[in-house]
Amino acid sequence: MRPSLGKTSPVTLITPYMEELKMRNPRTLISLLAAAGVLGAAVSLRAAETAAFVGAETCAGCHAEVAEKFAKTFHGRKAKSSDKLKAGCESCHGPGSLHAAAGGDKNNPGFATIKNLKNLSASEQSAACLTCHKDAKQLMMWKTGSHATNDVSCLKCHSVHAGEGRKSLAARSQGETETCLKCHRKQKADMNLASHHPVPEGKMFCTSCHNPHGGIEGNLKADSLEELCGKCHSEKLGPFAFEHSPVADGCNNCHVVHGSSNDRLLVMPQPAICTTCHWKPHSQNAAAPGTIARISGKVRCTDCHMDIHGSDYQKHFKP
Amino acid sequence: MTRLILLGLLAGGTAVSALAADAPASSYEAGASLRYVDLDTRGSRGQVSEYDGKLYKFMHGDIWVSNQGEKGLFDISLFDIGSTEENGTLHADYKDTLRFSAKTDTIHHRRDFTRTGFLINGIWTPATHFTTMDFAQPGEFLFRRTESTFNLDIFAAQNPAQFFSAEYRIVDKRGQAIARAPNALSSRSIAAPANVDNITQDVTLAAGTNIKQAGALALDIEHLEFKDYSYNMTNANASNRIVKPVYSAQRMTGGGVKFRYDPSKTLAVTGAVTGNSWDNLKNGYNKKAVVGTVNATYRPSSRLSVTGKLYARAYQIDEVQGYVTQIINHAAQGNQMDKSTVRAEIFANYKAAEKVRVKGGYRVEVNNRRDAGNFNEPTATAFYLTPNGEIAVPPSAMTLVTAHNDVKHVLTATAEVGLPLDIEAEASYRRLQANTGAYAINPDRQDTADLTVTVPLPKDVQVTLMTDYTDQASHHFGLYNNREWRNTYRAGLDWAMNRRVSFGADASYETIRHRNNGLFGDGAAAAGGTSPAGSAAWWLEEISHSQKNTVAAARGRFELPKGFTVLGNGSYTWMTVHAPIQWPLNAVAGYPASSHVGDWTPRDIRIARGGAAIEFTPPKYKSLTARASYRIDDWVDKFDANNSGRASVGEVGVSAKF
Repeated sequence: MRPSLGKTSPVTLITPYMEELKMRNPRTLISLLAAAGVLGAAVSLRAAETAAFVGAETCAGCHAEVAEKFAKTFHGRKAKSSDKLKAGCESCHGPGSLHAAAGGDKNNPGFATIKNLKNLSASEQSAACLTCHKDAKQLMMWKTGSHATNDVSCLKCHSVHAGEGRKSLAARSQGETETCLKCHRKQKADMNLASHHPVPEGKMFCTSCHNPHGGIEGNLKADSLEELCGKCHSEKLGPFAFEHSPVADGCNNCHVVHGSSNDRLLVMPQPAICTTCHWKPHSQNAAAPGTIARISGKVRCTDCHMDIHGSDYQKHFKP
Repeated sequence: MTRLILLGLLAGGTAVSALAADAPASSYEAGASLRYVDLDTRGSRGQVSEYDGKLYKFMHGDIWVSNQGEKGLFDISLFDIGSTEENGTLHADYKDTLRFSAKTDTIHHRRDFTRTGFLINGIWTPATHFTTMDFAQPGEFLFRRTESTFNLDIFAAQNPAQFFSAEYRIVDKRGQAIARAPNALSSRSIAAPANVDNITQDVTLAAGTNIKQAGALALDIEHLEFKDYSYNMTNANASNRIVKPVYSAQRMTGGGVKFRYDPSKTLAVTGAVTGNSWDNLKNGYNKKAVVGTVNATYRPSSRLSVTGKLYARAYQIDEVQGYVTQIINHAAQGNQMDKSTVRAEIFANYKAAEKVRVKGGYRVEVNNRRDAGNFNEPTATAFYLTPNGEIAVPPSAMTLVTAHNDVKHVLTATAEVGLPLDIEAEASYRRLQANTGAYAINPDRQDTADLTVTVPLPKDVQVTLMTDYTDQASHHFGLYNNREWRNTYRAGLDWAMNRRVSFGADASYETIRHRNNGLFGDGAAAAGGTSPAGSAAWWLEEISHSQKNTVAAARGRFELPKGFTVLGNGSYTWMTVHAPIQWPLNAVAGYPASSHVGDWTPRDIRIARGGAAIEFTPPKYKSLTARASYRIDDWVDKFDANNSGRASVGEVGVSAKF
């Protein structure tokens, strides 16, 4: 816990000595009390006086390693040109004159006047970042998003002192996807399955579909799952003359997103997934070969019903 | 197109660089690398290299330049030059008032023809419908996808919270894919290469401002266009029949407003209203969608937060009456489905004690589907013979209905506890209850429980153990009797001993079991029939379908003396899929008597991936690095060796920083 400056009374500190003096010489006691009052006032005044900015060079005097790493980060590189970062380290940590004057003495009341973000709660850590970033358009929904409401702060993913790239991500040399997969291990395992989006190949990232800072529909980058999928798979969205209703209803009726052991990210392989709704494919029809002949020939329903997401040409989704 | 974009990036970067060069007290960093790439592939590339487009051997390179000064900073980078999958980025910031970024990336997606099959008499048998004779042009089927994005942000000098933003995105797909169509002249289908050639373009304009200190507002409008330029394939065997129709052109216009408002230090409110209109330019149909959401989080202390959310979405499709009957001469269809969703939820997060946190939430979602339509399976007209020789009479009504209305309730509860020895445990439970699933595959009851334990060990080693279990059922479609169970065990180990050594490993084992009833017929049913083909159908109960996925992965980075660094990573994935059934084939032409299908969807895939690299940075010349790496991917399909393949990439190169 940080000590509360200005709240420690100097009189309290010397009480045992005072009791002895009271018995020996009241006048000396009164003099000492007066002196203690002046001294205490001086100490309190010093603690309560506004700390001043000392500049990043002063910080680097003790924190050389941090300063060297920080200079290579996006914040460090931007510091010369951005008014928000003109105060350097003190832009986030607050004025550091009292902290610097303490010279590393943790018992000095001035030592703890610097803002140490590691000691703050998740929401307080994020508040420090939001001082500058609160109006960024990608952060508009942050405070009500799932990360913030689950106490995942900015510093869980971003490292201001040593982060990499323009996003100052904390995962060292592992890319932005690894930042997410440190916690989201289920998705990490799913991406190793046979059918997956090209995330392990480095051609897509978690942030291709998700906004970790919060969105309109969960953490998605669109206002619904269908709109999100349609950003890359527009040809599947329709509206089609011949609609396949589970497709129009939601892509996740048939597909899983992060990885599947079935082709095309399907929940189940063909023809099993089709027969979850279509109980009697090609049966009871004297004019056409029945199910067994069909399945023995093809197995995949989409070998004939190619336009399974919808068609403007044929009602059975055949070309 | 890609080369133009890359040249543009280079030119833009050069121009910005020239401007910045005059800026006093600026600093540059630049680097380049060059490497020789050797590829080796064996067997089928379709699975093992689904997303790998390194088509060309010989030299690949990278170049990057960055600068920062009192006026701003810029970065430009071009990677994998010469590989056909070049990617590049350009970022330029001018103080706090202007930001420009551009990026382009290319991927190749292979979609080779893969055979399917099942177990007949215990032996894997491929589906007979396609043969290589049906391929007009055998070869690789892959298309190249290039996505490029340009973004400009302008901020007010006196108030950076006020901004204007413009973004342009283009996605270009070209290449070949497999197209299939029934062949009018035979019972086989045609498989032929069809060209892929389509473009998606997207423009978004946005503007925003803060509202005093407590709030902010952002508006955006978007316009998207999709056009397909592929040509129809024909096949002589099918008498000029169209094999692959062109995708219909589409257009979308939309916009929205987002806001945030912090009326006090303890309350935050966010929300949005968006709308868009999609047009299919082929059939004239239009789909309009509207979304609204408002959220509020009350955080009276650092220990407690309560969040409430409201979300509503509705879309409606306006059909062009007569398109189906008049233009393509099909029977009239009903209206397309219109759907609305309203969802409300409340979630609380409370730190009960120093090492105890509890979370809980409740969500209700109401879906309404208008014109959802029914689709009628043929009504049974005769008795059915089961594989056991029993006569079964299934229900007379065989109509499957899409649920017009469904209401879902979801309850979640989580507890996080700190245990002795710094062990942390998190347990959660989720319950879904609905009056019905929308479709037979959707559950109306689902229970999920999971447990995660994190154990810190000496020497900065952290072990994570996870397990979860899901049980779901669909009762509304009672005849179908859909049940599913999922069980997962995961473990992870992370070791970051110091800056020089880091190691990580993950393992996962997952089982998914699915069970349902089904009716499978073969030809017309006739009363009194005893032979499967042409006379009977089967009501199969509790058809089982299972998947097992085992994944193990490891990675490591070790910095050695004298400037050497060794990196390695590897993974092994084993997936099996089975649907055991007893399906007689004795009367189907081409199969011997008493044949039977024993597994409907057999699959056994083993994927091994591994790579290692060694880097050398001379201690006296830290701006130079030499690197050698090798990566191998091995895909084995135990049932069909035609799908198996192996790909390896070796690279040797140098990089330098200036």
